[in-house]
This record gives sequence, structure tokens and C-alpha cells, in this order.
Amino acid sequence: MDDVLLRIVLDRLDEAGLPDGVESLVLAACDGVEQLTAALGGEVVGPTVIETAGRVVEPAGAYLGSVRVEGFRGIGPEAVLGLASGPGLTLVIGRNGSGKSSFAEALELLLTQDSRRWSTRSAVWKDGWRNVHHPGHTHIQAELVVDGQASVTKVTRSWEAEAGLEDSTVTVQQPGAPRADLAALGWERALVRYRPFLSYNELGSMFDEGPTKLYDVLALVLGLEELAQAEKALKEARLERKRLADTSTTALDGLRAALEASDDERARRCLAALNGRRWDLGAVRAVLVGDPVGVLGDAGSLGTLRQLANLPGPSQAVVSEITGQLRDAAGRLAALHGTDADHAHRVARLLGDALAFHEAHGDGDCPVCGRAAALDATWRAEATAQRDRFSQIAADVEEAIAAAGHARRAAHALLLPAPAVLAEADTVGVDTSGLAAAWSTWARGSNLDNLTELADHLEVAIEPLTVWLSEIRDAAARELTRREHRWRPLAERLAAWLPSADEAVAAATAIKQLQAAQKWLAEAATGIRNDRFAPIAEEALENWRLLRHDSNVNVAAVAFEGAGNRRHVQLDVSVDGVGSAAFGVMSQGELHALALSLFLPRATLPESPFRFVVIDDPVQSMDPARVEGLARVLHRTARERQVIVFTHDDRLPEAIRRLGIDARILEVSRQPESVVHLRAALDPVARYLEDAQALVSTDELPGPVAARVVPAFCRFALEGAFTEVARQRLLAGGARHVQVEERILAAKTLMQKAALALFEDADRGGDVVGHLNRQFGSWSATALQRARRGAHEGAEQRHLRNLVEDTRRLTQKVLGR
Amino acid sequence: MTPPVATVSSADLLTWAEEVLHARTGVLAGCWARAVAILGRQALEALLRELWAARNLSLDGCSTRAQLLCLRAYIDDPDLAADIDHTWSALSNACHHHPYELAPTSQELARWLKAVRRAQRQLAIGSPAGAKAD
Repeated sequence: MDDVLLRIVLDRLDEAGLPDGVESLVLAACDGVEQLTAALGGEVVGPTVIETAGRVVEPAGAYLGSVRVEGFRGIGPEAVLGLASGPGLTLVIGRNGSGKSSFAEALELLLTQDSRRWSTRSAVWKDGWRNVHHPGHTHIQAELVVDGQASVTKVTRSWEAEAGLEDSTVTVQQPGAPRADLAALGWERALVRYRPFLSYNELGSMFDEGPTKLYDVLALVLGLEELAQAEKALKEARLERKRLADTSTTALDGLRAALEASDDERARRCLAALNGRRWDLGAVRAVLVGDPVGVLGDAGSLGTLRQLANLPGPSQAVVSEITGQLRDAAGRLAALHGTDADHAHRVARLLGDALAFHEAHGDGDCPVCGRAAALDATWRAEATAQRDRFSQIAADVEEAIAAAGHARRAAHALLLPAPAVLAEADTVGVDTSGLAAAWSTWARGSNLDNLTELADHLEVAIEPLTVWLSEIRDAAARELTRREHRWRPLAERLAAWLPSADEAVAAATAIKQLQAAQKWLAEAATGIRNDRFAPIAEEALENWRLLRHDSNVNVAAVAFEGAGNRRHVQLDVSVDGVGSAAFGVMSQGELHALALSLFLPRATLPESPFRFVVIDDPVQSMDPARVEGLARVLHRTARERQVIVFTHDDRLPEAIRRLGIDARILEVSRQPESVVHLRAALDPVARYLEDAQALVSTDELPGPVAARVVPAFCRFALEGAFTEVARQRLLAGGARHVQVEERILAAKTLMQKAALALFEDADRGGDVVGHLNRQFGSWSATALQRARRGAHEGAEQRHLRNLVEDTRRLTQKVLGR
Repeated sequence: MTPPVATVSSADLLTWAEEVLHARTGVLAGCWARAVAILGRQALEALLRELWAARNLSLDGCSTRAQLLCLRAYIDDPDLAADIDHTWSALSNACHHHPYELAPTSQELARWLKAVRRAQRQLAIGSPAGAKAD
């Protein structure tokens, strides 16, 4: 998007205060589809904020210096259209087929990047672009005079012999720069937007295709297509996401039916997660991952089955170890049977104390029984042995008791009741009655204390328990596997669906934002459109006021209305003050004039790099009054721009001369062999006189040709002068243009024209000679008669100079100069 | 009355017209088209004069329009008469100034001269000039 437009959008965004997400989508869309895609993908798109002020920067303007054409369309050998490279009006007049339109077309083709567009125009164009009389080399060259550049830029497009229309070479030679291609001009976009070319056909077809097409063509000037593109990007992004969401939802419908048909609790969980408008995809994903703790836990039939499959219980190996310990402890206790561990312990401690006493006090009497000298070395040795023996006895007994306790606790620890899950087993179709019975038998052993009895119980009860345990575990595992087989396809379908569901969920958010962004942009575009179009509309209406002249059709306003498929250009038209449907009431000429009114303003937009506008034959189907209006409009445009108008007859030049508009008029003529000749055109009277004078003075002509043709040129000059005077007098008398032209056309002969000019009555031809004799003298009547007769028969060579001179005097008298 | 002007044959006038039509430069560069039209019309009018003279008819005072009406009565070929009539009208039109009209194109002129040449041949007046032109 261009800077000017982007700045306007940014300003409006500032005021709008949209949510951040929506605002960034608008900006991204203004930057193009790629940026929008990136923004929707979650990338932070740096806004392309330009720091230029919101003012239009005028590009360096280009004027045309000349156009050279060789071997193209109606032009054979090289012909040069030399132009004054500055603001002003240039008319190029030439009959249809004179090659004038070839210049206009050549210029447009020269500057158009994509010449394929031309070859698709029509077969006539495609095959007829080369001049038939000039096979071989074809080239078009324009000299451009660019503001601020000291020398000209030359743009040349050339074709080798036999090359197709599309196979041309273009070079651009800018001052002080190497040769480059057309892109160096940087006009590709400007040529579309401000296209400085207008042809009769375009003017004619502008309204044919309806107000929607007209909208599109006019909107080009405003650069609004970029807003439309941004809008379109938003719309397409939204539709794409809508499709994603729809696809995912549709896929879910089938999936949902399959889930409902399944008795798997995972299916039910997924269904629950996917019911309602917000899908809990996290829950579905957790089910699929099969996280039993996090989501399913131990609950539910699958939990039960999983517990059963991994049912904890005593194993044969552990039981064997513990029974071994039990029996070992029992054996050791039996071996120490009758031994008083307490007695032994106390004796050992008593002897220990006595030995310590002896150690401290030395040999002596027994302090307990008083036996004299009982404590001596002998006693000491015996007492030490005794103490050690009793200590050993006490330790053995204590150890055996501890081992027995340990073994018993271990046995009791094994003899737990059946896990609670067994009670739920029947809900998952596993019969655990055998296991329950075995387990209850097993658990009953917890009441036993006797080591041998415990060991016996364990050895007996473990066998059925392990058999049942293994059976139940296997049964649960089988059931799990069976359910897994049935679930897997569903899980796979869910897994396959999940990514699209993720996209759909993301899309749902994006759709809302895109919708908001599009809505905002559409409304903003309408505002921007009307703001930007206002000055153009004003200019167009001003043009129309000049052009409409006698037309009873008034155009009060031009505006863009509607949007999308209903976009159109609204013209408020009234006929004789009564509102009316726009196009139906207007003549072809009025439509042309209106089209021209609308399209000329784009040539004067300051942001256009083109300081020239080329208009090809705007006056066809225009009546004289409107031609006069056209002359005024062109004059107005030419104050600031180089206006080049090609026209097929003398109506526009006549109006321009009559209105005293400063213009350069060139005449194109095409001689045999497509030799195209250009010369500056005088007004018709001066031109005829100049031609007559030249023919008298030359010796290039064969035989008495001058004598044969000079009188006819004098008659041309007189007819031209009388016509001009007649038009002035009749118009000054208040007659309408159309009537004036009708009367002038009806006056065919010299005498009728003279009478119309002199008496405002073409039927008074018989009074002309007498009037001239009286008014100007006999020389004038003689000149008139010689010119009249000589046009048919020629004149005598000796009279020619006088005839031309007298004719000149007479035209000056008649014209009042 | 204006003094008599030297008579030039239709054939000569037509030949000059054709020469001018193909001249591209010099004094004729800008005015050749009208000059060709003038010479062409004079050639056609001279042809009529030669026709009446050959038949010893005096139509000198009659307008060309009147002479063309007579032509239909005097020659057996109505197509030729119509062709001459049409060509003269076109040439005559090109020999008057009409508001806004530009000079005729070279194609138009070439067509008209061909018609005059055809008329000269088919009328075959028998004068040396007319015979030569064949």
C-alpha cells in the first residue's frame, strides 16, 4: 500500500481504538497477504509505519518532448511529433487514417510494461500493428523532459524484422545513468492509476459496462484497489478459516457417532469433552495419551481392570523364605527349652558385679555370706568362667526369642485380607470368588501365633492363593487387551482429527477478529474513498459545467456508493430540473462529455508523475456547442498540464481559434506508402492563402498546374472567411450553435456562403457582387468572380499574383482585420 | 466577362493530378490533397466538355449538375453515368471549404482519380488526347 494511503489508514486506526488483535490484522492485511498469513500464524508483524508526513509528495513530473514512430500502424518511414515540453495545449488534427492515432497508440505501447495486453486487444490489432508499407525495423521513441533534469530521458522500444508484437526491446536512457529497462522509470503502477491516455473508444465504453465497472475504473485513480485488496485478503483468510472449522466440525459428526456406539469409557469421556460449543481438546488428548493417574486414576472399569491385572499378593518365594525363618526360630526355641534366661542373665550380672568389687578392693572376705578369705585368685578365675557361661546362655535365649518374633511378624504381614478391588471385580466381568475364598482362608492365619502352626498354614494356604492370583491377573489382562483392540481405531481416528480440531479452535478466534477487521476496513474504505474522491468530483463537475453548455442534463453530484458487489458510482442527474435515472437520459455525446469530465481530473492529480495527458479523438459525436465547452475544459487543464489532443476534424481547432485559446495546432497527413507528414496548422483562411501564394511562386509544378489550382485555393480562402464571419454574426445574434451549424452547412456554394456572411441570408447570392462593389470597390468583386470561375477552368497565369493578393485583401476586409 | 482561359485536355489534367498525388515534398507537402482534388474535378469537367464537343453539342452555359443529368441521356451505360456523377460530387465537395472538414485522404483521392481514368477510357471520345490516355 502506498505511503499516503497507509498514513490515512493509520490515522483512522488511531481514532478507532480497535482491540489490539484486530488492529494488527488490519495493518497486516494492508501490507499484503503474506503479512496477514504471518500475523494469523501468531507472528508479531512489525507495522510498516512510514515516517513521512501525511502529505502528498509530488513526484518529479515528466513532459513529452517528442514522439518518433517508424513502421508502426499507419506510419511508415519515421515521423516525428515534436511537442513543446511544458504545460499547454497541442492539437494534432488529421483525417481518420492519417496516422494520428498511431502516435497516441505508439506512445502508450512504448510506456506499457506488459505489451501482451495489447496483443489480446483484438485480432486486427495483433496482426495489424506493423505498417504494411514499411517491413523490417519498427521503433517508437519518446523524449521525456523530467522536472529537475537538465537533459532529456529517451525511451525507445524497437522490434527486429519479423519479430512479434511481444518481442520488443525497450531501453531507457536517463541523463547520467546507464541504459536501463522500462522499470527504471518506475511508472508501472502510475500508468494504471493515473493512465494519461484517453481514447474515444474508452470514453464511449466507460458507461456501457455499468456503474460497477465505472466504480472500479475510477477507484483505480484513488488507489483504493489496495484497500479493496486488503479487504479481500481479510475476507479470504476468514473464509479459509471458516472452511477449516467446518471441515473439522463435519469430521467430528462422524466421529461422534462412532464414539457414541462404543461402550468404552474413554469414548464417553471424549464425547463429554467434545459436547458443547467449546471443545476440551486437552481432555481428549489426555485420554489418548492414556495417562491413568492424571485423568482416569484408579476409578472406572479400566482402572479396576488395571488393578486386577497388577493385583498385589504374596508369592511362593516370599512364603518359602518366611516359613523357613519360622521353622528355624521354632527349632532354636525348642533347643533352649527349660533354660531360664533371666536366671542366667541375673547370675552373670551378679558375678560381674562381684568381680568388679574384687577388682576394686582386692582379696578378702565375701561381703555377702561373710566366708573369710573367700575372694582370692582362685575364686576370681572360677567366677569369671561362670559369668561368661551364664552370659552366653542369656544371649542365645534372647536371640532365639527375637528371631521367632521377627518371623512371626513377617508371617502376619503376609496374611493380609484381600484387597478391596476384589469386591469390584464382578463389575468388570471377572469372577474372583475362588480367589476371594482362597484369600479369606489365607487371611485367617493372622490369628495364629505358634510358629510351626503359622508355617504350616502358610505352606498350605499359599498354593491355592497363587494359582487364583495368577488366574485373575491373566483374566484382567485379557479383558484389558480386548478393550484396547476395540478402542484403538477410535483412538486413531481421534488422534487424526485432533490437529484439524486445534486449527478449528484457533480459527474460531481468528474468524471473529478477521470479521471485525474486515468490517472496520470496509467502513474506513468508504470514508477514505469519499474523502479522496471529493476533490476529483468537484473538478469533474466543474468540467461538466463547462461541457454541458446547452444540455438540459445537469449533474449535481458524483459519488461512490455501496460496497462489494453493490459498489457503484452514483450520479445525481436531473433533466430540466427533474431528477432522473442517470444514463438513460443522456445522449452519446453527453456521455462522452461526462466521461471526459470524470477522467480529466486524474491527469491533474498532484501525485501523478505524468505532466502530460494524451486524448485521442474526444470530439466524435459531440455537437458544436459541446466542442466549444471541450475547448474550454482543455484550456483549463492545459494551464497546469501538457495536453495533447488528437482529433479527426477541424471542429475543435475552430472552436479554439474562435475562443482565442492559445494552442499549438499540428496537422497530420498521410501520403501514399504511409508517408506521414506533420506541419503546423494555421487557421483555414491563412492556410489556403499561404498554399495559394506558395503555388504561385514555385516552379516545381508540371505545366500550367498553378494556373489551374490557385483560383480554387482562393475560393477556399474566401469560403473559409465567409464561413467564419457567418458563424460569428449568427452566434452574436443569439442563435443556438446547432442552428448556426445547420445554416452554415446548408450554404454550399461560394455565393451562398458570402450571402450568409454579408446578409445573414444564404438565398441572397445575387446581391453579393453589387454589395462588394459598393462596400470595398470593384477589385473585390472581380477577385471573387475570378476565384469562382477559375476554380473550374483555371485562370490566366498573369492574373494569379493579383488574384491571390486581392483575395487576401478581401478576406481581411470581410473578417474585419 | 472574364477573358478566355487556355483550354487544357482532360487527359493532361488527370495526369497532373496523378503526379501531384505522388509528389510528397516541396511546395505541395501541405496542400497536395486539395490540389489533387481540384485537378481531378477539372479533369472530369473537361472530359464532359470534350464529350459534348465530340458530339457537336453546345452545353457551355449549363451547370455541371445539368450536364451530368444530360449525360445519363446521352450514353447507354447507366452505371458509368452514375459512377461519373458520384465521383464528380465527391470531388466537388472536396473543392469547397466546409466547416471542420479536413482535406481528403490519399486513398480517397486515388479512388476518385481511378474513376476519372475509367470514365475517360470508357467514353473513348476519339480525340487524340482521349486515345492516348487509354
